[in-house]
Amino acid sequence: MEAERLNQKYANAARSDEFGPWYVLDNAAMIFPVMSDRVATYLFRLAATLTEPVHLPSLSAALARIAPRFPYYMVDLHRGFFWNYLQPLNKTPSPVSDQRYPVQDFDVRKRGQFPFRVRTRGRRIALEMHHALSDGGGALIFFKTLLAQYFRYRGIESDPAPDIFDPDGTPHPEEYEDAYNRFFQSELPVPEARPNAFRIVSPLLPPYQFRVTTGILPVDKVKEVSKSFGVTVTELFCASIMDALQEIRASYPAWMRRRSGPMATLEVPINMRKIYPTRTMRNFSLYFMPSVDLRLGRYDFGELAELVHYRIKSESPEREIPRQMARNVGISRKRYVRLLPLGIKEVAMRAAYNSMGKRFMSGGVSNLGLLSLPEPLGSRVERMECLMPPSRVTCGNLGAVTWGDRIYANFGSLMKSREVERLAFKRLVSLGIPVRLECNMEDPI
Amino acid sequence: MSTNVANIRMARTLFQSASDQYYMLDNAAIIMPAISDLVATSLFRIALVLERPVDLPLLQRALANVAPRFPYFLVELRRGFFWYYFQPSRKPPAVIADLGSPCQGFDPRKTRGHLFRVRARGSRIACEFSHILADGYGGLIFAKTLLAEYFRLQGVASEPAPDVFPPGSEPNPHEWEDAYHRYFRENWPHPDPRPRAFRPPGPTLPLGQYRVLTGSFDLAAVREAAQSRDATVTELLTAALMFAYQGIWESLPPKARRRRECMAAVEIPVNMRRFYPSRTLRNFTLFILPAVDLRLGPYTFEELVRIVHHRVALENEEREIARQISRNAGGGRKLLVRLVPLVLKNFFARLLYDSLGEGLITGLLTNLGSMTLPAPLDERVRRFEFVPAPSRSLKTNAAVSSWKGELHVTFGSRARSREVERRFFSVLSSINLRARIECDADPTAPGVPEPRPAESRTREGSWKPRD
Repeated sequence: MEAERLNQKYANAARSDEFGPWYVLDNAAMIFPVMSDRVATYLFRLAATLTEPVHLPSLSAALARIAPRFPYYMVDLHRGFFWNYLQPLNKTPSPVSDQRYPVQDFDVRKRGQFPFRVRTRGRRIALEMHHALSDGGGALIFFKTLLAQYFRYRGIESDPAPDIFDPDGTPHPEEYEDAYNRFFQSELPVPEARPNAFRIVSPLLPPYQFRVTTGILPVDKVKEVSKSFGVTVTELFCASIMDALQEIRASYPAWMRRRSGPMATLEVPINMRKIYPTRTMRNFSLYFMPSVDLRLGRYDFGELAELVHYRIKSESPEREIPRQMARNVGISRKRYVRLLPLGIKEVAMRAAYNSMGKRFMSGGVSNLGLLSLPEPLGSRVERMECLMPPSRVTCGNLGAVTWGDRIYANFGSLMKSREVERLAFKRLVSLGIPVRLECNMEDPI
Repeated sequence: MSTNVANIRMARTLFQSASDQYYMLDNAAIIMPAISDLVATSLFRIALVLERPVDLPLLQRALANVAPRFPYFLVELRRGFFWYYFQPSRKPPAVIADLGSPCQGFDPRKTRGHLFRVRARGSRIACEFSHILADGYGGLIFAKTLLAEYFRLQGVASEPAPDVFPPGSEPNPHEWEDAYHRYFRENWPHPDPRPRAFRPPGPTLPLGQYRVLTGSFDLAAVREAAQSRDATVTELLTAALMFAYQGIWESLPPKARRRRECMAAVEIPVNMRRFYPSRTLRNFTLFILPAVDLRLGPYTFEELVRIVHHRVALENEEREIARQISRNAGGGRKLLVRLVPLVLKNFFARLLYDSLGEGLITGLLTNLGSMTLPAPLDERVRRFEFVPAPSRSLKTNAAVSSWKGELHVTFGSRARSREVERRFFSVLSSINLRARIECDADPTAPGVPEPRPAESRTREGSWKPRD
């Protein structure tokens, strides 16, 4: 009973004092402002390409119109003595122009600036959101609501849908709760430590350059191939990235292999809203971490696919995955942690994240699956894409979206080396999947 | 290439000294003498129940005929300065009576005699082998060869079979090779560390007692139950055993639970001859260890089947299991290890065996699969029985085999309580797999208390923490 009361207390993210209301960052978000800079921005991106050029005044109006429905996003980041916090910002957001390099050159700590931006150029509308604010689950609702409102201003009405909010509605208090704290179970054991992950070695691109390699794949063919291995589409993507990592590792000389971590570990986010009942629009994802030990010789692709499948299946989302929550929330509730000033917390968080969080991962696969918009909006959108946040140390960060009969798989990378993308797509092609490639830089692979 | 030459050299176990021949112990066996004693006798048992009573003089003759075919089993264990070794024994093996508890009354370090024994009583022939000598595969070939010779002397000739050796034939040198060393891989990573495992608490039976309890299932029904859950029979039974451990864990008071280890881990031995071609009759078994964290439970039985299935699939791979060879055989090759005197080796062996072996295991379930015998012997054998070797810390272990459409699960237990067995069979009966249970608690042995009927039923009463 006591535990439940505490969970409710901590889950309540909206606070108020003599200076007005403010929001606590959710448990996962606390670390992101600390870790992000202008290059590794921790922005992720959702983009829609319409069938017609974007009408800018309508988009500006639509954004301004829906903003009051999402008060918990209309904030900016402030430094407190103990924690970072979000304070409502009395400004109307407006779209900015989209550039060649997405999710770059953004500082979330700058005052008077929303931790998200809506960008547009040509036929494309993109939402870039900082992870301190929300994850893909929350951002997708915001983005769809924006699209629906935009089309409404363009004279195209759509049916209401559960994941498109009514701009006149009132926000439910559950939408800004910290669900990690609400569903925290203190009695769960913390997750086991993991061995270090293998990372490719490559110089970085010049600052503010971010390479996006998009593979366009027919969904029925991908499904057919993954079914032939007995795995899901996400697992197929994981296996192809692991296959690329294994080839790269094999090409390294022995001394480099010895120095690198042994595991190819990918981070596969799970939307925890599917497991716990909450409407939260803040972060609420945890991770599967399928991994294979690359020291144990060469794996066939079929073996890799099977291993990924079994690893994911043996980490039950109901039992194993909440242990991550038990660790993250458990630490943040400790009194001695809470009493540390923010500056010291930042140093500790950086050290902890560098030594634990980052080291486990070689890359990630975030598959948002089949997206849909109510008709007639669906037919006015040509494609949808998503992009994972940039990282200086991992490559092979794949964001995938199924739109219509195609899968748009986006690799984002800050590294000069294109090997992971090249080998992963090459593997998919060798399995009989026709892949069309696009890249935002010259000499694509 | 150099590794291959080294491996072949290391796999040799027969050596010629000034006076006589001697054999080295294989890599799995070297640790065994250190951890064996009168309680953990290291004996496992393969018993054949015939349709007719055993003709004892004939069995003795059959044993005498068969023995020269297995020179590597006719040995005695000796202490050297650095290692234990086998010295060929001059004594002919004899059939002894099968009285008292099985696999008991034997201390491999102290016996000056064979490390196996052939016992007979009524219509049962039992071969008890020390694990220092061989694993189940080797023991089974010996038992089958003995059986075939016994029937041949009775005038029943059998068809030749690959796992029945003709008694007069020449032994193949590969039969006593140390296959662990033969398939050793250099620079292969060692297994990942694992947490220590939960052990059901409770008092043990008095010394010299080992309770054997067998449940017989309809094989087809068990297969179907496993297949309908996308699992193998071994996985289904492993999950049932885990479910039994979970029940015991849940019945402990919360305070006791917090103090105890929390992993339910079932060791499943894997016959490595499946992965690597070898004719060896010595040990060539390693294990996989599916485990669940009981703090995240309680799990349903179906969930456990699924978890076990996936964990087994991840581990049951040649490259994963080879990591154990890399650790075990690699350690034995180090010059530093080899130069340590045996006394010290034994001390460290006990420590390592606990921290890397038995400490990580809640119980063992070995599946020997379905048994075969060449015609017409199969009609004359009513059943096969396997009894796992008793161990000091794993009180209850299980062996599974099937014969003539029946699946036998045999529990060998040193625990006074039958809670593991009871919970195991009751979860299987809840999915409509009912077993016929037989228990060979031996009432003729001295000092055996009358079995208390309430014992198997009381839940909390029989699970007082040990302290």
